[in-house]
Amino acid sequence: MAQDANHLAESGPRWGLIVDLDRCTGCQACVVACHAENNVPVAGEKQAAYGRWLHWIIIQRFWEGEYPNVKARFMPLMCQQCGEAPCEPVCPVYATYHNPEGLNAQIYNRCIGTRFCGNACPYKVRTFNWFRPEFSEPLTEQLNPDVTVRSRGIMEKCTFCIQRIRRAQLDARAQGREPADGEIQPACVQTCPPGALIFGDLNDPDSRASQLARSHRAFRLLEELGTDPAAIYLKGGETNV
Amino acid sequence: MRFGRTGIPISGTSRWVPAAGLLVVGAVVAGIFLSRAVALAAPTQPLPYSHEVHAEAGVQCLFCHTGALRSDVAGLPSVQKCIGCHALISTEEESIQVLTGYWERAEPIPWVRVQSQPDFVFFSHQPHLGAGLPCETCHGDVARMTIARPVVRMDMGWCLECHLEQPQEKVARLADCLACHK
Amino acid sequence: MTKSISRRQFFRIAGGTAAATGISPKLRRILSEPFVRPPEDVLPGRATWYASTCRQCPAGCGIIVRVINGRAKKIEGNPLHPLNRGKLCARGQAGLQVLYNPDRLRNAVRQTGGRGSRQFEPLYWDAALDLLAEKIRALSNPGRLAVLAGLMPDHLYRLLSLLLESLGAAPPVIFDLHSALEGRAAAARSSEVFFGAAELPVYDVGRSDVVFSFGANFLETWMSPVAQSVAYGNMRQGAFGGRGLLVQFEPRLSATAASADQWIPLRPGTEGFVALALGRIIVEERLGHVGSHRPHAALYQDVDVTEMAAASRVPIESLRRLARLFADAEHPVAIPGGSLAGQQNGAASMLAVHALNHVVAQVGRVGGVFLSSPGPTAMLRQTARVDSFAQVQDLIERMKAGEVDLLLAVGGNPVFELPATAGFAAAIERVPYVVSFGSFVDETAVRADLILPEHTYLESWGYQVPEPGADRPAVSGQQPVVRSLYDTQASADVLLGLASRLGGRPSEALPWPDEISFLEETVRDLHGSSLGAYDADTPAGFFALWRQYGGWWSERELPREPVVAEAVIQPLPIVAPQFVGDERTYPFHLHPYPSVALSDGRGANLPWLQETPDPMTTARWSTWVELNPEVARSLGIGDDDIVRVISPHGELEAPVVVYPGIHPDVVAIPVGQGHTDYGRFARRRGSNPLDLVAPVAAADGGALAWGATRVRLEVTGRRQTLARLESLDGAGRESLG
Repeated sequence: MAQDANHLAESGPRWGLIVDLDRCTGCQACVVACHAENNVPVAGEKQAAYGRWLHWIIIQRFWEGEYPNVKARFMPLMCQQCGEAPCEPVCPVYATYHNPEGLNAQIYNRCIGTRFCGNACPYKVRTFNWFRPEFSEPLTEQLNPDVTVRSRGIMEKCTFCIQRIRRAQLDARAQGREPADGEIQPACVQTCPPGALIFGDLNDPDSRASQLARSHRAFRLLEELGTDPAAIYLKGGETNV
Repeated sequence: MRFGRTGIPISGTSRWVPAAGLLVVGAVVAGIFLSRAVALAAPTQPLPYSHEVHAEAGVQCLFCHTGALRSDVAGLPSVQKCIGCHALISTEEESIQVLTGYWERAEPIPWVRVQSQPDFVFFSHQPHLGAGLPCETCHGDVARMTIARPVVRMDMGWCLECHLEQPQEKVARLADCLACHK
Repeated sequence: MTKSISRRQFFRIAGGTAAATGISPKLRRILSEPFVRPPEDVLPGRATWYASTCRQCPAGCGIIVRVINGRAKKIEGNPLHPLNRGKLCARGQAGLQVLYNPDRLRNAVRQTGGRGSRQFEPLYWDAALDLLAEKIRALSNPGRLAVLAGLMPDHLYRLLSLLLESLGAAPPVIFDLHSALEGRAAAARSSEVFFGAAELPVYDVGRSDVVFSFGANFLETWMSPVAQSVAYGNMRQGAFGGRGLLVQFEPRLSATAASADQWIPLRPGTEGFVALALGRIIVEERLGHVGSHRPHAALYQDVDVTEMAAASRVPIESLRRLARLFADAEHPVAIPGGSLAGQQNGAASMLAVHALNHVVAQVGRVGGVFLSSPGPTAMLRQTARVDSFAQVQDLIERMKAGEVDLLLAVGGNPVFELPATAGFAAAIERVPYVVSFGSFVDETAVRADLILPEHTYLESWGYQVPEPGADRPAVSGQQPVVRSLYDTQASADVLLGLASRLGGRPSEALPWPDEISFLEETVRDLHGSSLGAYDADTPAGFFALWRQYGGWWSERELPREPVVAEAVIQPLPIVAPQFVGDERTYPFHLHPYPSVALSDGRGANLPWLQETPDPMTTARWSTWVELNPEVARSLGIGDDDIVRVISPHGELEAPVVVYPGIHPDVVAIPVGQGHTDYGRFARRRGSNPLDLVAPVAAADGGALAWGATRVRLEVTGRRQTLARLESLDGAGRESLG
C-alpha cells in the first residue's frame, strides 16, 4: 500500500517539533490549546487521581537541589513521532503506522484498545479513553469538525495537528505551491507565548526547525533507545555571568 | 435422556440448533443485500427536486453547489438562490409553491443527505475538483436523475481504487491513511 | 422444547439479525439545512475568523476566533496585535468554555424563592429594566445606590461612570481578587509617587539582560502575562547576542521563579529590605557604569546594609554579588510585583524597587522601565481604577448600617473574593435590593434578588485600552464572534436602556440608543490619526477596519520615558511588615497565590482549566497546602496527608504537597477553589484560602494585604489522594541532566 516511509523521507517533508527548554515557562497554554483543537476530553478529578489523565501534551516539572538552593525545570512532553517507533510494530490491527511525512499516525476507527502501543511507548505519551468522553451540552458546539471525536476504548496521542498540516497543504497546493516554512503551526506552537515551540520540515535544511535542530543545545529524549524522535529539545542555557 | 460420546446429555433441543444457525446465516445474507439496497436508494426529500429538469435548463453544478471548488463541502443552495429564479419561474407548480412557503416562513428546507461519511473520515471537494475530476465521476449522471440518489457506496475500498490509480509521485500521499482519516 | 423453531423464535432471530446487519433506514437519515439567506462572509465548510479581545483577565490581549457555521471553535492570539503578537495564555484558550458553558444563565431572572433559594424565575428584559429603573427612582437619595464591581472593560466603565454621575450617585467601588493578588492598585499608586503618573509601568524585559523580579510572577498571571512571556522568550534566546538572566526574589518559588536562573527565598515583606540594601551597595561602592551616584545618595541615607541583611536574612556577600550583577549589566531592570503589594509595607517595598531602576539609570532606557504613551487613545482611556481596600470596607460598613438600599454587583464575585471576615456576606443581607450582572450564578449572584446576565465576552462589543500597555498606543476592540446564544444582554445596553427609562440627566448623559452607536462614536476619535496602522476614507470604513484588525494601534513603536518625580529624591522609607496573629501562636506566614489556570477563582467553572495541571505541583481539581520539606518532616506528615490550617480568622483543611521551593516559615495555598456555587465544575471542590485572610489593608490606604496573615498547622491524621499528573514514586526528584 503506502511506500516505505524511509524511501520518501528525502523527497517529502519530515515534520519536526523543536522544544526550547530555555524559553518554556510552564504556563500550560499549550495544554489547553491542544484540548481545544483536538477535542481532547476531560478526565475529571477521580480518574485523574487514578493516574488516568488525558492530555496530549504535558509539562513535566523537575526539582533540583535542596532548599534554599532549589531549582525547578519544565519539560513539555508529547508524542515524539519516532522514526523507529516502538508503538508501531506491536499493534495487532495496524491502527498505528508511520506515514511518509514522518508522523506516527493513529487511526481511531481501527483501534480496538489493546493498549500494547501505550505499553511499548518509552515516553508514555499515549493516553487511553477508559470511559466514554463526556461533553456536557452545549460544550459540544465547540468541538473541532476537523478532528474525530473519539469514543471509549481508543488510544489517542499528539498528532502534530495533522488536520492543520493537511489543511495548509491543500490550501497551498490549490495556489500551486507547497506550504512555506512557518505556515503550518500546530495549536501548541501557535499559542506558546515565550515561543518555546517551533514546528517545521526537518528535511528542509533552510527551515527554522532544521536550523535549530543543528544547534549545539539540541538533544533528543531517550536517544540511547534508538527511537529516532522527531521532537528535538534545546537545552536550557546557563548564563555567562 | 440420550448421551453422546462425551457423556454430556443431548436433549431434544439440539436438533433446532442447526436450523436456527441456517436461519441466522440466511438473515445476515438477506440483511447485507437489503442494506446495500437501502444504501443506494434515493432518500425521500421534502421537495421533489429534479436535477434533470434543471440540468436541461442549463444550470451548472457549481451554480448551486458553490463550495465544491473552494471548500470541503459542496454545499446546498440557499433558499434565496432557489427563489431567485422561482419567484417567477414555474410558480404554478405545487412543488414551487411548497418552496415559496419555505421562503416566506424564512425556514430552511430540510433536505435529506444523499451521501455522507462517518465522523472519522476527512473529505474535501476542493482538491478533487482541483485535480480536474468532473462531478459525475463520483456522483454519477446526476443530470439525468429525477430524484437524487447515490450511485455507489462510497466506502474506503472504492475511494482507494481511484487513489491507487494516480501517477506514481502522488500515490504515496494519496494512499496514506492520514490523507483521509482525521 | 419443540423440535423445530416456533414462529415467534423465527421472527425474533430473523428480525434481530437483520436489524443487526444495519437494515434500519432511520439510522442513515441525516438532514442538511442550507441557509435561507446566506451571509456574505461565510463559505460553508470554511472557517471565518473574527478579531476581538480576550477578557479572561484584565490584560486585554487581542484574539482571533475561528468560527465554523456560526459556532466558535478555537481562539488564537491576534498576530497583528502589538500587545500579545499572536500568542495567548491558557486562560485565554479556555474562553470557549465560557461561551458554551452548560451553567450559563439564559434569561434575566428573579430569585423568587428568596435569596439563596436558587429558585429562579425568568422575566422579559423590558420588565426587568423597568423594575430596576423603578428601584432607582424609588431611592430617597442617590447616595443610597452603591455599585461594587470588578475590573471591567473601558467602554463599560465609561458608561457606568457617566450614569452614576448623572444620578448623583457615588462612583463604583472596584475590587476583584485578581487585581488584589497582582497588586494593581499598589502598582498604580507607586507609579504615581515615583513617576508622577498613576499608570502601570511597562518593563522592557525583552531587551533586558538582567531582570530582578521582586515577587512579580510575570510569566503566570501578573499584569500582562502573554506580552511579558513573549518578552521573556526574547530575553533568553532572542535579543542581542547574550542570554538574559533572571533572578526572582520571593517567599515561594513560583512557576516564574522556576524559569529564573536563581531564586532568592525571602520571608514575606522583606523584599523591600533587599532592594534597599542593593541600592545602597551600588551607590556606596560606586558600582556600575552610569557615572556619579551622588544624586542617588539621598535615597539611601537611612539604609544600613548590615541591618537590611539581617532583616531579610540574606547574607551580605550574596547582596554584594547581586548588586554587582545588577549594576554591571548593560540593561538591567527591577520589577516590583504582586507579592509586595500583599504586605502592609507594600508601598515602601515598591518604592525601593523603583529606586533601583533609577540608580542604574534605566528609567526610560532600553531594557528598563517605561510608561505607555496613550497618543490618540487618551480619550478612550477611562480605565477603572482599583480602589483601596479601605473604600471596600467603607462600603461594607455603610451596607451594614443600612445606608444602602440598592446594590449593583457588576462583574467580580465579592462574596467569594473578599476575606470571609470582611463581613461582606453578612452586610449584603442588610441591603433591601441586590442586582447582579453576571453570566453565572456565583456566590454573589445567589445573594441577589435580580440577575441581569450579560453576554459573555465572545458575544460582546466593546473596547479596552490595555494597561499595562504595549510599546505603542493601542486599543483592543471587541466584537461578537457568534450570535448571542441566549436571551442575555450586554451590560452596556442595559445601562443605556436604564438611562433612557430614567430620562432627565441620565438620558442626556447617555444619549446613545445602543452600544454599537456608542462604540462607533467613540472609535471615530481615532479616525484620521496619522499614527494608525491603517486608515480609511470614511468613518464607516474605519469602523469596518477596526473590526477586522481587532482594534487600533500605532504603526510605529512610541516609547514614553517616565520622569522621576522630584519629590522622590529623598530618603526612602524603611517600613517593617506587620502581620495579623502573634508569632508564637501562629508561626507561619500564609501565602495565597493565584493559580495559572483558575486565576482568582474565575476560571473554576471551566473544565479545561480545572483539568490543567498546576505547573509546580501538577495537581488539579483541588486545593492543597504547600509545606517546606523540613517543616513537613518535623510535623511528621508527607504528601497527601490532610493538614488543618488555622488563622485568627478562619480555618481550612487540605492535603499537603511537600514543596522544596518554599521558605520554611511560609505556607502556600493556591486560590481558586472552594466555590459553593458557580456551576457544576466549580461547586463543592477544595477550599477558599480567603477564608483565612485577615481583612486588613496595606499602610496609607492601600489594597488588601492578602499576605499579612499568620497561621498555624494541625495534623488531622487523614489522607486524601490529590489528583496529580506526576507520580509520587520519584517524588519529582528525577533530574533532567
